[in-house]
Amino acid sequence: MNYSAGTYDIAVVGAGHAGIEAALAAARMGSRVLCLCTCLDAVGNMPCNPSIGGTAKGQLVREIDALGGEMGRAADRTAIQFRMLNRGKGPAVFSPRAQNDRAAYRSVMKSALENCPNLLLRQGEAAEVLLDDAGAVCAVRLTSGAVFSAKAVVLCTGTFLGGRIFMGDVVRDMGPDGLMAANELTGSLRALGLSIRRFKTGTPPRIAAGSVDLSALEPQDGDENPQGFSFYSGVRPRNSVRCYMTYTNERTHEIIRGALDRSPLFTGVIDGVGPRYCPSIEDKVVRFADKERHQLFLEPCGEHSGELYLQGLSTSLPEDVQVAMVRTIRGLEHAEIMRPGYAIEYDCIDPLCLDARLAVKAVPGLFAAGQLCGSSGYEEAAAQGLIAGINAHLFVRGELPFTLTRMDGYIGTLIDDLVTKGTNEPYRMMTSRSEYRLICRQDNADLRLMEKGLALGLVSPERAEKAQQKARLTELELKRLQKTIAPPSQAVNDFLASHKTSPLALRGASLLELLRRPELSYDALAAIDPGRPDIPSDVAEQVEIAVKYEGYIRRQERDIADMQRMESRTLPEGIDYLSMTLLRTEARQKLDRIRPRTLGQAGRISGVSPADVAALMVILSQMEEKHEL
Amino acid sequence: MDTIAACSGGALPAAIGIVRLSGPDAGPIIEKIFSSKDENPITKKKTYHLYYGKLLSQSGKTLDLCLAAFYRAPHSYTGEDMAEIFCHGSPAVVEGALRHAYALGARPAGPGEFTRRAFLNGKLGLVEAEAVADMLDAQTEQEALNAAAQLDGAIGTPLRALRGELTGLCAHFYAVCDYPDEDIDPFEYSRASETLLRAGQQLRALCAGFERGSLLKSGFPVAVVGLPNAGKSSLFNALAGSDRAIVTSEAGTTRDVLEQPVALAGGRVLLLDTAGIRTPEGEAERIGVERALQAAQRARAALWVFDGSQPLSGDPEALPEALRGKPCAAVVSKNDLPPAFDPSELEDRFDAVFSLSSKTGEGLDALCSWLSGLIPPAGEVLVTSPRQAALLRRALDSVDAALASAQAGMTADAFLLDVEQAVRFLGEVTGEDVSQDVVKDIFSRFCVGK
Repeated sequence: MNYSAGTYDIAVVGAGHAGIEAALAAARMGSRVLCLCTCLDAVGNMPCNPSIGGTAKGQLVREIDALGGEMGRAADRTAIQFRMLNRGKGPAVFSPRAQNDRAAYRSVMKSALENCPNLLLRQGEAAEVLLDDAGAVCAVRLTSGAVFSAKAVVLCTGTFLGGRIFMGDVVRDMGPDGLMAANELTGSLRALGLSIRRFKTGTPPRIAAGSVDLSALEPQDGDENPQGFSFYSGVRPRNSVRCYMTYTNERTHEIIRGALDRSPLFTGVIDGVGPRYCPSIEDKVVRFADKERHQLFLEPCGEHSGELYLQGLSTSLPEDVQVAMVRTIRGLEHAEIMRPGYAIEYDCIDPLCLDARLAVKAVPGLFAAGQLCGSSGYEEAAAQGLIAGINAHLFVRGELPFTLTRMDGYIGTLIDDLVTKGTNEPYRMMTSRSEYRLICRQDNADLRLMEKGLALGLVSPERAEKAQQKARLTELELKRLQKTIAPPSQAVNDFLASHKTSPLALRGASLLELLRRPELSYDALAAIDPGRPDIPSDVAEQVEIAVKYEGYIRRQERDIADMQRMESRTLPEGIDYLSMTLLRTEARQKLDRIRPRTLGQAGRISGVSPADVAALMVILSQMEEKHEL
Repeated sequence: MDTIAACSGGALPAAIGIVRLSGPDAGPIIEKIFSSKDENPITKKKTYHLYYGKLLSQSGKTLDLCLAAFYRAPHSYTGEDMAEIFCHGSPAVVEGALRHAYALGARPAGPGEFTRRAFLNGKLGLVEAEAVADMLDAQTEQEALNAAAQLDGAIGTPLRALRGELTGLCAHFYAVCDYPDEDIDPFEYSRASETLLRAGQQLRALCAGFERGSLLKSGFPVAVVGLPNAGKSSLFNALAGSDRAIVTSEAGTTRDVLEQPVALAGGRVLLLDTAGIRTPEGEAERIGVERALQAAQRARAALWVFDGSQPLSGDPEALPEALRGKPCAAVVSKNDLPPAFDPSELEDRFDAVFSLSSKTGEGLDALCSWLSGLIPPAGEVLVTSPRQAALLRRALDSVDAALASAQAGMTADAFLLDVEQAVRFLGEVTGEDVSQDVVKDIFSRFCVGK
């Protein structure tokens, strides 16, 4: 029986990576928040990799941290190995990545929610979003009959919504990790006019550590002196475990090929669209048939866990096939599977129905984040959760929205891609998606975003001050390098010769000029820089990047200025695209559906060609002339 | 989209007039304007076939007996439903047909509108659309051949391939970075440099081709020089076939450089008529002389004009510095008057000597065929649009910058930004990627909405 269970400002549905950030952000900003989760033991669960960060995802985590989110801190605290990926490929693609203790991460996150004022963590399955007479969100009903009043609802349903798992011909309606699926809410979302789609993802088997011959495998250790994700938190990640590398081989592939008729991915049982960039092993074997082997990693699921996650072997093949194929792999000849891999299919919405706040345009008060919006990955989910939570709070307070643009960084790019271009497969963040990546780096997320986090009340003044201090010190050191002249002395020229770079002739050179030379690093220059002040390593890093990449950084700044011009041409809200006969039909329909805020956003919509943008500009200027705008 | 109609033939009257319709109502309109012989509507007949029938006026009277064709979307020039009527080229017939079409809801097409629609509907790339404009402007066979080859993708296709190669370079790097766990072939800087080097060469060749291509379009520049009153302007007018230069018998009348393209058999020549080179007597004349010298700088060849009715005076050695080493012919003018010297006296100092009369036209043909022979043959397909050339130049600069950075040890995350920029410029050439500037350009050229 339905009963009135309480009144909140905001109800967050789900306590995965998106739900956690949404609930914490809204509560910390002052809203009264209810956070629902179908199983309180699964708060902050990592049903796939026991890992946070990675290429482009590491950037997201640092941005989340700079805005006052929780993920970076929790990941640092529960890290059991930490590495900076893509070292040597340039600062734009450096990406921090941690192996995490799953159990510790869950408990750290659960306690963060439990200890947050204004927030109640509550077990329960949402069944229906209720609207008031004006068509705005007013409550959420649980399957138990509890009805919680709320002015805003943030949906973060992950893979639980309509979840169905596949292991060969074994199919079960359930969520990840043996948890229950949430089956009632989809009907309510359909009734609200949202179109529902099916996406799928998958996970590899977990192997019993004791059954693996680790001595046959190449170990992979964490970085010395890792810095972590979180800025100025005082927590340094630890390295307490090793990962191991191995490979599939021709025998593995034979077994896979022989079992394709039992893979639901190939027999057509799965309708959901899977991610191209995170393919299952059967996908890889079929699509890259000429590849003799595929790289695999064994990643510990925790410091004291006996489970090894077999990265790279995601599969939906039947259990007996999984056992057979795993045992063809070097080091895994006697491996025992503890948890078999599986594919999971789930309900999600078309993100084109959202705006940059991650609000459902047609339903005031309804927000969405994470896999429900078509993304994949913990970090993508957390980033959206943070933005949706902040905006749910601002919506409830009647305040102006908080949105990030592509120029602000990866979070802005992620959301702009989702709500402007949409996605036909689970969307993963990649460095190649950010056109301003030389400016939007992981090392300067604090400089880019902490000010905003401070203004929102999510970042403490003490942390924001540290970011300002970093910026000040960087400026000072750059000025000092410019003013400090290395003389054309024997000592200086010997130093230059030892670094295989040309000597100074008659005139001296500033240290700034010398640092521009590819052969010289900031550290190396210390030898001819007796007056160098003692500056923190993160400042030295900023200085070095600013000097080495100055030309490119300037260019990106110009690109950003260009972009801002297009972004500053806002499009009137009620504009009638369907009657614009100058536009092609597809463009008219897309513009009508997505209703971009700016001309810049209009140009990024797939199906809107440059010629359409041209025509749109003409129409706008004609309307302006006729004073219709 | 509304339906547009226009006379697509040349000026009337002519042997044939062409009325063209494009848009969703092209079918219903052609059915009413044109009644085929067997009285079945042309839209129900085969697409892309000519049918014979009656052209009807608004009042239903037969205007003409003619041929017509209907092209069903998307297989038409514009990508929309289209119809063409080939009637007798009388203004009354063509205008009658158009009036009827307008009465049925068509509107007059704006300049370039059929081509613009073809571009908007993805039937033509930008390079190809520009080639259409070139084709319409073509005055020589060489220009027409070049435009036709461009329309056929002779520039667009290799550019798209080059763009693909550069995009592939970027994609490889990002694949390596974005999938650190997959063992993808490592991104090798040496191979990246090779690709950039090759791309640079290709772009350099295209840019050089533009210089030749612009000669093709603007004409091979030839300076017409000589002492005052030698008959330069008369020669200029005779070659150009119009009275562009002011011709008087008073020395020093031509004070400006006049340019006149002249279509010859071998291609186009751009004649640069210069003020007489002499000691200037006034400010205006001084400027004229300076301009003449500048024109000589641009010229690839010169015609030195001598007055055949006057004894040889002045020093033909005083050829402007800028013209030395370039082909130079002596033109002995006014051979309709009694000769004052033997033209063959000039033979050892010039590449060729022509005796002619600008007044009667005698001897002009020989001069024209000498000029035709100077024009370099096209051979390859040349870039002719300044817009394309400017973008190719910028793409080349970006590729060169990337190569320099790569060789200076810059990381790929940075120098690939240059490559991505080159990809954008190439995309703008072909119309696959268009920035705001191009958008503005599209505006002005196609007069959208005016």
